[in-house]
Amino acid sequence: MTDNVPLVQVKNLKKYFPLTGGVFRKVLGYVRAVDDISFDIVKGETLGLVGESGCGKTTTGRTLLRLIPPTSGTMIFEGQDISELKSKEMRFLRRNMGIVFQDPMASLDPRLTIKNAVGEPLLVNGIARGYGLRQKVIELLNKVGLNEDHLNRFPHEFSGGQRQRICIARALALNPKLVVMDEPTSSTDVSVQAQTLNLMKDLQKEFDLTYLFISHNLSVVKHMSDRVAVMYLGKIMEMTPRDIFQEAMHPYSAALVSSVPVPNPEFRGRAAILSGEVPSPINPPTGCRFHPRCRFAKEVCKDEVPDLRDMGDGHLVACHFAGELDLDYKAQIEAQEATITGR
Amino acid sequence: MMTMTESDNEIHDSQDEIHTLEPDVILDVRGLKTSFYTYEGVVKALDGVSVQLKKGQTLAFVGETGCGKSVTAKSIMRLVDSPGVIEAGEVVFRDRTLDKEEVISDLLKLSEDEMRHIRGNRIAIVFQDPATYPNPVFRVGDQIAEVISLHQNLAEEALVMKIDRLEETLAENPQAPNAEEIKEKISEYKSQLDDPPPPTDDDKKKVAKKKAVEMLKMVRMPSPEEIANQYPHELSGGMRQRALIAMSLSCNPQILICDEATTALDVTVQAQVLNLLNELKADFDSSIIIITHDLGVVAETCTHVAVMYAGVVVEYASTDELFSDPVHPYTSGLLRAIPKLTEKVDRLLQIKGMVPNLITPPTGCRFHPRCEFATSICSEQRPPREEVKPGHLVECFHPQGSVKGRR
Repeated sequence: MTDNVPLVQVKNLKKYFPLTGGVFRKVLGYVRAVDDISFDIVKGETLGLVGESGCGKTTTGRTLLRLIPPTSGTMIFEGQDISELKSKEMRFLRRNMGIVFQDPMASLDPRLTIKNAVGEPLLVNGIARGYGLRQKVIELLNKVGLNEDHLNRFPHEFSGGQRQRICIARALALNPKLVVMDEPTSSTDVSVQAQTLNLMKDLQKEFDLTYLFISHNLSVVKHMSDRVAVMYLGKIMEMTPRDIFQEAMHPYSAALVSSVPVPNPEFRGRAAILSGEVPSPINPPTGCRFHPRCRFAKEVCKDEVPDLRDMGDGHLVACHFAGELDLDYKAQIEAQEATITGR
Repeated sequence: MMTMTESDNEIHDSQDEIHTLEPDVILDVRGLKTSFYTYEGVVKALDGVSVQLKKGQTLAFVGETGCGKSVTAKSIMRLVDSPGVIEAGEVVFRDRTLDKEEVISDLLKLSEDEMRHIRGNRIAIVFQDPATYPNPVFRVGDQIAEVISLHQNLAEEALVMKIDRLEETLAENPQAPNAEEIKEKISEYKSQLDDPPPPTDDDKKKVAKKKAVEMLKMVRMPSPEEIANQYPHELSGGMRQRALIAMSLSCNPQILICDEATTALDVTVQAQVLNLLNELKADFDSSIIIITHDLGVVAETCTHVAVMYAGVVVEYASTDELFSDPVHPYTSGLLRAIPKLTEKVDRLLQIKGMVPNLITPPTGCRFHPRCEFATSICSEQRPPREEVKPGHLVECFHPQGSVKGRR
């Protein structure tokens, strides 16, 4: 975190998708994909957004860029409210924003050469043409570890890791301030993932980028992020600049952390296994959305929605009993740390 | 008991050699080679894979995309589709028949009929994507029941079911006019228990369905009777994967192969399924082969690991050994390339380059173009398989780790 100017402020953002049915497409209900979330992203930092599938991570990322319109709430980008902007104004503003999608093969046009794919944002925005465009594209490709020879090739000629780099080059073409990384490495292998993650960290330093890093992989999020937000059923459960993996205060984050398989046999069998599965976001549980699966749940959890409370150092937790629970995984993690450092 | 030498050469006259297996080993893959004949050329997907699975072990095949993990599993099951061909090697399997006799056979030499008896019955497989594998147009219970009635005789079970049913009616109404008849029937059925007659199709179906519900209960499915009557799309991903596991275990297989069985699931559900697998292994007295790219899953569930790279098992060891003392440069690179929850590093170590194209694989050691320790010998010869420590096999000319100190 370089300074504390928020680049993006999101307040009470909601995104409901209507469920229609019957002859007249009557609205039967809503999928509450994102339900009243607020967060800031400070300039130069990486905010990690983590959660299980269907928790609203991707919807949050896309709504932030207004790729899908929000149902309600405000989003302020560099002091300007973008939630009500017209699409033309938005298009202009989107120069400052980039996005890298999960599946690089699906997000690259199979019939555009790399030069055209990476050069398109430059051309559309009238920034470069002709020879200048070519030079600019080569420069971008060099930045992501590709070279001039790749200019006239098509996406299918590249490996998954290279394709993802092309997507990153394209996202960076307009020199954006904010880049949303939507599961950028979930379709790549471990060794390629390491290359991509390192590249993204280098580029962030070089171009002073701000990332919203969305992933379901907690280890990757921890590696990349300055702050981590844990989402569950459309709500932020916990947001912390601390190491969430040691200091999680919400029972859900704690359970999530402990169910990640750690590549070290000494940690075997530490999972505090959550019973059941994520409920449907069409009819989310009342009160705290995690209460049906929470082993600490009491009466109040069923009735009252807990607010995000600051537990010091900007560590926000949405739990009625934050700080009072013995999540009993800390001792285990400390013991594990000891075995690692002792080796 | 030391060397089981059962041969199955009655059927194949070409099969004169007698397969031997060390005790406890239930599956021995020796020099397996599988190639795919494509338009671009011959893809040598497996180039001499050798690995052993002992009774009660959980073995992991781990590696990156295209390293041949799944092809190994499919070759063991002889499910390699055209244009794939299993070109060489042996898959020696120790089967346990009903009367506790042991039959040792090379799966690659069996006829298709015999293989069908092995598949799903003695060796079962759970595939990666739970959304595509259960047939969407049949009820979950019926699909499991089909496997059961196909592979099992069920004569005894059918008879027991008949007796139970008669005894029930008798208990409900002991004064019935036909009570004597029923009692006679029961004693008649009981006398047949030692040598039960083949059941009618109808009985068989009912028994299989009942067993299917039991299997669903085994995999900790809530309200199994209801689930058995539902269609796959009505279940969530985790439940579907459980149903598939139930289907695979329904014939009490010797070996259960899980091909990326938990990859499509969320972490919390994945933890449930992995836990379930470990519990079931003990209940069913089976061995498990887990195919995964996630080293975390390996550390959490497996007893032994085979690390694969470009169609070759480069390192094989027990899990504790492999994670504490990786010897092959690829393994140690892989271990350092994953971001870990338990430590914070600024940069990850990256293995340079990419997985090679298997149509023209690198000469010699297939890892040498990406290896920081490679010398000229690595590009000329394939390294032999060496046992650097007891039970720790490596194919490398320049082993690292603790071995390096000794060389």
